[in-house]
Amino acid sequence: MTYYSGVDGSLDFQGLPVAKVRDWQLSMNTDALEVTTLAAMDREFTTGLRSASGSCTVLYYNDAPVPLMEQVLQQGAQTSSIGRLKLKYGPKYFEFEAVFTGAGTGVVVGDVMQVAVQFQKSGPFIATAL
Amino acid sequence: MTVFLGESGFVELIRAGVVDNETYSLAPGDVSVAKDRFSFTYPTGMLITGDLVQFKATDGGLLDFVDASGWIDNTIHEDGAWYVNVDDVGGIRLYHYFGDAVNGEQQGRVSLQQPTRTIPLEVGVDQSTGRCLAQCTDYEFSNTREAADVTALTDEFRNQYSGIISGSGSLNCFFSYRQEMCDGTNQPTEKAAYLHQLVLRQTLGSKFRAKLFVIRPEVGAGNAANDQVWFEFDALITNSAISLEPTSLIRSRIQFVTTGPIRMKIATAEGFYLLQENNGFLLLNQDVASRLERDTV
Repeated sequence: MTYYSGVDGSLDFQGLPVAKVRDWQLSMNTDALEVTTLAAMDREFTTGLRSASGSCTVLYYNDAPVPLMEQVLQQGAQTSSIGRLKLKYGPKYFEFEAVFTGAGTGVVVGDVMQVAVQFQKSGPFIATAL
Repeated sequence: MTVFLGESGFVELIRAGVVDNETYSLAPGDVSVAKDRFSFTYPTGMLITGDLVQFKATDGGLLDFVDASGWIDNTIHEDGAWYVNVDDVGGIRLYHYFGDAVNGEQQGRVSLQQPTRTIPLEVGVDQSTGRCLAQCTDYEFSNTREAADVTALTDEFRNQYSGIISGSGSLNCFFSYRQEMCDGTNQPTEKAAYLHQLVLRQTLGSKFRAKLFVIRPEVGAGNAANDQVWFEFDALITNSAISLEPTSLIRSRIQFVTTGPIRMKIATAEGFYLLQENNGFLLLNQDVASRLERDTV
């Protein structure tokens, strides 16, 4: 039995590891489609579309978050509208393509600069190891 | 090995200079020549007795409510700075010396005269010279450096990045409000009452400059070299408290936070070594063409 923590976590973008990642989150959802019919006494559902979205925070250290920011802005080296992400924890991972929907940054007195990036999964998971 | 006792400590306070951007007006009727006293409409508590206050006529005219004897050259100018004594209804009297202003008596008071016009005045407090804080019993000063956590995923140990530095502390002293002399000197003291007034000053703020001496000159046999060690910084008073109880001395406790840089300064007297045949010291000063070698033994 194994616990996982930040020590085990990492993040790859376009197949390359991203440096100085502070955290990543992924939220997975499946739509519930109602199939309740007349005379039924209980609501019934079936599964609909699956989706997933998430975010990560990268410290602004030696341009570590720049590829992610360029993906949001669709400029620089990142010309494709879709980027491939692999969110890893130990030997396990989620791998999928995503649209990068936002990147926020700021400079704060007494704190290091960091970039918070949001993404939305596009299409099915390419691979998962849970 | 040398150790130092708290008696080598000392607190020097400097009233910080602040300028108010407001323009006030002084009408002829605001000046009482017979009492050498004047006033104008200004926020209560803006000026504190003992402040070195700069007055300037902003219309280009002369500051003619002050008699010519109030200036060093006996000539009226458009601006000037004097120590003020502020009474309980806001009346102001001018003095040449800090000690006289605190006492508020006739001696040393600057003569006034009836102004010929309504004078638009710009008022500011000048930075004064340092004075020892009267009857200070102890102080505490703490420096803090913030650390930004830059630990990333896969790190097994926390990594920190140096953040900004701040300081805070407290002063404890016996309450005093009258003019006194610093121990062992003929310099007037800064009194605890000033710090109580400073925290209540709204318009110009509660900033002051402090030198907290760890080692002061000419104190104790351990300081024969006349060394000085002190912290120097600007600070704002954040809390002042006074406690009274029967049979106990009245004490003031002042807490502050620093603003701007904090410096620890050490002034040591130069060493003077007696050159002896053995174990003597010589300052080796030579250019690259010299052939003298250092003794590495």
